[in-house]
Amino acid sequence: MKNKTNDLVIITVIFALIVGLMAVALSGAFGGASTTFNTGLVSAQSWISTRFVVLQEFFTIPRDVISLRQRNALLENEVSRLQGQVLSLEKSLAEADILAALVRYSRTNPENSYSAASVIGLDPSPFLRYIIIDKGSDQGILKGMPVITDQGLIGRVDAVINGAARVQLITDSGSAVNVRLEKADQDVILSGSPNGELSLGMLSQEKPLEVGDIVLTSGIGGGFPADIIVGQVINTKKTDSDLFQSASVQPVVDFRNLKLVMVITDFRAIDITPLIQEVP
Amino acid sequence: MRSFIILPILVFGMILQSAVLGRFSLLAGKADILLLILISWNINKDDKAYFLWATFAGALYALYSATLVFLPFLLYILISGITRKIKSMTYHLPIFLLILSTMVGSVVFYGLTMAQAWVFSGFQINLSEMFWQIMIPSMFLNIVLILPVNSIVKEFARFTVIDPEMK
Repeated sequence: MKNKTNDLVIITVIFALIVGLMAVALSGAFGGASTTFNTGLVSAQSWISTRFVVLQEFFTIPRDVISLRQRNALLENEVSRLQGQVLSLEKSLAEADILAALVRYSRTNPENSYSAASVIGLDPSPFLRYIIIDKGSDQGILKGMPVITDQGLIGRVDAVINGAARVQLITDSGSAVNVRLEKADQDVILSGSPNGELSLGMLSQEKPLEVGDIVLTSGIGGGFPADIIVGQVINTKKTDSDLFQSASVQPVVDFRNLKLVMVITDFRAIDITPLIQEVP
Repeated sequence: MRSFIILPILVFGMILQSAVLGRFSLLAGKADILLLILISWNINKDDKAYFLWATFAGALYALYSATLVFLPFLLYILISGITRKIKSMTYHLPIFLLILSTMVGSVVFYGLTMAQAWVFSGFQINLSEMFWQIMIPSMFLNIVLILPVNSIVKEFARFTVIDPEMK
């Protein structure tokens, strides 16, 4: 009982002391001593805090660098994956654009049946202009079928296996296409060359020939359907000493960038070789 | 037996040639990977069956190309033989040997192809144009590509050599 009374007295005294000291402090009587104490305390706090932070950094930052590097590697992988995805989508988009153009072409020219094919290879010889497409006899492709893009004529099927076909481009030196000049209204032969240039030969000197004249297939000879656009005359060569005049043709198709083509599957090329009489 | 590793290399080379390298041209010239593989193989490996690999390369070429069927067989066997002859006649200076063999091989390959086109095909061909626009750029591309092709083929040629200690 006596102990309890003593404790109560002590607590009361301490409480009164604290309240008294606070009242004195609030009145400003401890100003100098308080400032000195606070300054020392803050200095000590700063000293300890600074060293602690340094120590903390020493132990924690290397771990952060490693984790950051790991994170960076993950993000780089993710970026690479997304870039690959973007490229793939861009490729798909480009293919979709080409396909859409081919579909538009086939809708505007409904008289023929078409089979779309991808270009999967080129002739290894630099002297020859052939491409390899991924459609063959299994898909109904036959030798002699004309091959076009939405822009115009590119060539004809030269050889076929079950899953692929080789197409001779009109720029090949062995290619000869019967064409018609739209303005001049004249039938001539369009020939390729080893360096891929197209030229018109056997043009009568009397017939007018203009730069810019459109070149279309004539259908003569039975090798190609008529009225497929081939190109445009870009320059003419006419000398009095020559029997014929000649001209260079700019093809409408970019042969260096062929990706998707269409084979006209309902056209049967006519072989007129037996009808051609050999000149003795 | 290990020498048969050249066959898949040639097949891969042909696919690469047709699908990828054929799209990269200098003027109208193209590199010929099969030619370069055969030259590198013959320089790095003293293989008596060289005509067999050349025949296989010729068959591959003939399969892809519209050229006369006999021509690639003939040209690849001829060039393999020439390369081996050059190798036996010169000091062992790899870079010089590679470039010389590539130049000679290219001249023979494109020269005879041009001659064939001129004589047999009957097309109107401008020889000067073919020389400057096809043959010289193709030879240049071959010379540029022979070093990377050789470094790869060399590793495969080493693989075919059986270590005597392992016997």
